Amino acid sequence: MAKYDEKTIVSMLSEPGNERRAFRIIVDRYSEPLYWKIRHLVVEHDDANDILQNTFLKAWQALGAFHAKSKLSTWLYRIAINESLDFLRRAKNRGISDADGKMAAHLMADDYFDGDRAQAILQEAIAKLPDVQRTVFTLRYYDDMKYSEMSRILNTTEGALKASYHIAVKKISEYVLNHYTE
Amino acid sequence: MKEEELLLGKFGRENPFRVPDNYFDSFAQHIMDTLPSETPCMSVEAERQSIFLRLFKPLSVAACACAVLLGGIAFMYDSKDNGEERFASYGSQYNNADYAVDQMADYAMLSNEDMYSYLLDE
Repeated sequence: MAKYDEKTIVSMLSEPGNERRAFRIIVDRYSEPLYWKIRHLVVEHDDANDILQNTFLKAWQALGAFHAKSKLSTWLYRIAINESLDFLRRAKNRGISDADGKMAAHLMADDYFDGDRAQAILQEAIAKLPDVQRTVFTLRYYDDMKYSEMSRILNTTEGALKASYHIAVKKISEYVLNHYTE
Repeated sequence: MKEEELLLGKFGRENPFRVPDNYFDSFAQHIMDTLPSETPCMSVEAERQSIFLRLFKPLSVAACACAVLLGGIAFMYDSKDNGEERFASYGSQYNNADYAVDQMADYAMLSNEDMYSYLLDE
């Protein structure tokens, strides 16, 4: 398909025999943007890969519940972010967190991290945010996502999102100033 | 926001993460290979019903209004000054109005669930 047309894809999803072809187009189009949203939340590539696969599997299984009342992207991003937040909650329940502040050192040794120490400290600061603030911050800071779109994905008011972002930025700035000196 | 400007000035929006070589190239095929063989179809019935409801929304509103109006007119026409008779006839007129609504619903092929969904959609 030369040009992605969401209406056509959604229509194909409801045609017996065409669902897989349509879903393949969706995976091709959205796997990378979804991956980066997930990765900014969970940091590790292996975790992001697992979550991304789960996202598409759940989307496939939930096709019957998608009535095209929202954009495909909004629906997919919502599944991906919920999967990511579930992952973070499970990790916390298992006692896995960066309470000891060693994430920066771990990242510097990670093959799939290309940043310098400053970037590692920034990721450490982001990881210390509460999950929802982390989500809002990464979507706004790295994806430059509009609050209106974020509101549809997270089902929260724009005002709450702006406040959350503002608080997240302040916390991160303080953390970076306290933990990194050039 | 001053703090945001500081962060952007220091870090930009640079993405410090990377992926294994050819990760995205092979990802889509990997996903398609692992999908279950059953093909859950998007809710065509829900789509068709919603289109159906949208098309017949004004008609069903008009039909309901007409049924209520006809029922009311019939009630008033048949009602007499005699209070007992009025109460006695009210039951049958109420049933007639109900019957008219049921007939309209049957004609428009609307189930109770369709009507409830239509009302909730407002």
